[in-house]
Amino acid sequence: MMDDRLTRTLEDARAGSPDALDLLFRQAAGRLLALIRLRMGPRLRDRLESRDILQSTLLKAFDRFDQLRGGDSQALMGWLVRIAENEIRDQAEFHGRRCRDAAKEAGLDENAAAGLAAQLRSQVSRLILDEDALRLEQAMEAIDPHYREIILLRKFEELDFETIGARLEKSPDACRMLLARALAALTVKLKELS
Amino acid sequence: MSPEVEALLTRYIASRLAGDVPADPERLCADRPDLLSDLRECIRLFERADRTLSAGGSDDGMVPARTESLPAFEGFRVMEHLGRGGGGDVYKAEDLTLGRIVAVKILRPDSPLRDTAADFLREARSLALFEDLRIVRLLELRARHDPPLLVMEYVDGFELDVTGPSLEFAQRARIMAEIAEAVHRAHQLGIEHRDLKPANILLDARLQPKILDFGLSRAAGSPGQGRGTPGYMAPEQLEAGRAIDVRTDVYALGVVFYELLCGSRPYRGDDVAALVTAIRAGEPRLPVEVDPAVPEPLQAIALKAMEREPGERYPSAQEMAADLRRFLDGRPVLARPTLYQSALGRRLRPHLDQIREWLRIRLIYPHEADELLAAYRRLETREDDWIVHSRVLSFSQIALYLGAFLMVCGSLLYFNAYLLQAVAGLARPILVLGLPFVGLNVWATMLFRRERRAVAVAFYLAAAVLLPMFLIIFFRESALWPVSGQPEDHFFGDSGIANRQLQVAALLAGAWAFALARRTRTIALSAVSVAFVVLFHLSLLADFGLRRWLEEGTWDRLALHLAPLVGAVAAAGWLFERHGQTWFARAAHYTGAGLFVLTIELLALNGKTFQYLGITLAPLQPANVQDPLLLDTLVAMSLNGVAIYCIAWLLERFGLPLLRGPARLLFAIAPFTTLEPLAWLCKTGEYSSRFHWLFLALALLTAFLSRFRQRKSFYYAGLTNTAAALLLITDRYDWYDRPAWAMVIVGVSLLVLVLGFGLDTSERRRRSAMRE
Repeated sequence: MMDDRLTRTLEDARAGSPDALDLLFRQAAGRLLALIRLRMGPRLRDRLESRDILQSTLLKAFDRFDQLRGGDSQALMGWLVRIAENEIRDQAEFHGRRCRDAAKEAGLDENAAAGLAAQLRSQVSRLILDEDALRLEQAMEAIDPHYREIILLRKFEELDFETIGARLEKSPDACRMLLARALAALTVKLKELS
Repeated sequence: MSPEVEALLTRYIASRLAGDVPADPERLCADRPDLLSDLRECIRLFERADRTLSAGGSDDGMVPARTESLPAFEGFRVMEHLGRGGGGDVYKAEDLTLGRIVAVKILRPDSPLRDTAADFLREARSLALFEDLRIVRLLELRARHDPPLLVMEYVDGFELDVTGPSLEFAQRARIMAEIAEAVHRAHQLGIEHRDLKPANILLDARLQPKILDFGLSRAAGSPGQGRGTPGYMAPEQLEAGRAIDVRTDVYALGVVFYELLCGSRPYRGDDVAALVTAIRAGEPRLPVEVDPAVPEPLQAIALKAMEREPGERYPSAQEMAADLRRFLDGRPVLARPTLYQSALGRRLRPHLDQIREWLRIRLIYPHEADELLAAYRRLETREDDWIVHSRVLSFSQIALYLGAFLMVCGSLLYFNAYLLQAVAGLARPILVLGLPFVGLNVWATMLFRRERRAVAVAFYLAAAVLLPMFLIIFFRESALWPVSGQPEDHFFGDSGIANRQLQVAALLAGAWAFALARRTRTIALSAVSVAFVVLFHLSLLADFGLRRWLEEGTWDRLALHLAPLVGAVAAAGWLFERHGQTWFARAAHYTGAGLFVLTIELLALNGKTFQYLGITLAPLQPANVQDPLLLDTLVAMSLNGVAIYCIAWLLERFGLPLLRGPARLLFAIAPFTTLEPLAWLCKTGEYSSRFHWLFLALALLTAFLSRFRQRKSFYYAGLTNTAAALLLITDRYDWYDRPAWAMVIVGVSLLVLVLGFGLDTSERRRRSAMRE
């Protein structure tokens, strides 16, 4: 079962509660934006606006809320990441050919959509990547792709080591050790950047 | 940031990720306090980054503890399931009475092992015997509990295969040395582990290994086939009836170390049967093939420990630990795994087959096949320190042997100066010869103990050649075995040196060099010892009149007296090679071949060979030939060439493998020996001028014969003798001022060139016809 607090937050946010939206942002949006930026990579970031992707990801999440399976923040992040990844792929493929109206596509009630989209835009525009986050992003992009991947899977998508192990075809212990090495490498890179 | 700090940080993060209390930076840096401030700085950065990464997410970013039903034991609060192994489940628990964290092992109710309870009690008894900090301590045994419980020291750490890959190779070697030492302690108490594997070895926060799971151990010497973990089982554990001893644990230590080095197990298989087949075959990939960074000495140690035959492994875990310590101290390790040799042999086999196939389909000639095969065989023989047989040359080697060689030259000159009475008294010889002898030997012994073989051998070599000269001078100066009778009866009688002094000096020096050769197993020293044996033999001959024979030119006597030595050296070479002592056999073979040629050549002089055979060719000589034995001498010398050729052929065809070298030497000598007598004959001018032409014809024939035997020595002998024949003919007829003679030679040369051109054209045509 879904964690009550999260369920309520998401539902309230969907209904347009500013507090709930704020809470949701505090819980997930920052990391989701960082993940979107990392998944996009520097080249795609030049062409697309990562905040747009975050916004349409959240709108889609509100729309498909009933598709969410699982009961904790781990499941929620995993689900949001899937939507974000699809969104990045879609936008990368159709960029320049289609002008997307995220609110319309989300298929919500028009008024509600307009209100929600406006609130989201306001929230997203306030979402800034501070110096720490930007340095982290630089460091993440500078480390070995295998290291980057496991940090994304564990720290951003919050997958457990068994799931990561199944995905990477490694034992959970090996994944834990790989993550330790990845985080150490990330720290080394951060030290160099600072 | 240094890689060491990164490795320490990795360990810190790993302890965090495992959900434990984070490792203490000070303990992590116990070995390297200089890294502590760097590590602290890194940990601060990491914690900050981790907060950024986890912002808004779950509180610790770690895996939530799995909630599952945990058993309850009286007096303990069970905290979590740690693992399963050796017939029981292990739990982390708090001892409520003493307030300490312990590991509790209980027998699995569904365990298929019928005698698990017996194993369990055995483990309890085994563990109680240990007080080694590297072996998990037994705290309490509740034998009457149902099921029985074993309370052990709780180790806060990771299994070896989890932490191992992130460690430096030196750290891995240090950890393995400690494990081997701990296992050796158990062996001393008569307990074998029989199930050593990475999962049974934990590393705590200080990277100290702790060995777990003595569940299969029994009193040493009892059977233990078929038990253990398949990937780590020794070949003898797979077969009933084979003895199992401490070397079975040494094998498992080898496999554990192999895995620790390169991250993968030596043997794999889709199922147990395939795995067992692979273990029995005993041909793992070399660790450096899996990870090129693995240091070769560590690879050698792992492979030596996991030799297929127990007799080839380290005889004890202690020996393995000692080799690992050698590596850690920067000294060479002693391990020479047979796998190197067999792997090279195995990889050479297809090449050898290929060469034979090329020969079969006539892609290459027999002599080329021989050369290629010989080159491959050289690869199979063990690397030798002696420069002549070394596969790789280094400046140090060159300098060392040059130094030894110069020592020989200098001491010989000094000895000569002594013979010429330019040196008097014992003080200076002691300074020049005696002290260097003692100093070099002491130094060499120290170096040899420190595994610096090449340097030690060179020092021994230089010292060994000083010995006989010093001894002779010492004997003479101290009037031991002085010259008796006439000085002419002694070889160096004029210099006041008695034969006995020579004999004792050569014998002692020979024995000394032989002892050193035996100790170092090097061909250089065995060659010196053989040389001293020859010297000893000659000094014995001095008693029989060697000096007189040389003065009178009675070479046959010398030859006859050398014959026993030839036989003895050849027999010694054969015996040593049969017993695998190649370090001595090779030197003996070459000396035997050289002495054989010398002996039969000396015997041929003055026609003695025919005289001993009771025949003479003198009646065939024209009456005007002054030397009645000239023909006997010349024919005997020519026959020597044939004999040498036949002996070489026999040695190559039927001799032991090491005799191929001397055989090649004899093949090179044979054509020269065959033709040289003719050149000498022509020079004496005793016979008719036709012999000059015969000599020329034979020389040319020899050059052409090389086509059939494919031996370049024939060709070179043919060319050299052709030139000699032309010169002799010119000299005989005094045609130095005859341009016609030179023009004839030029004309013939043009004819030969045209002949060559014609032959080449026809060969080309034949080849292109074959291609079409």
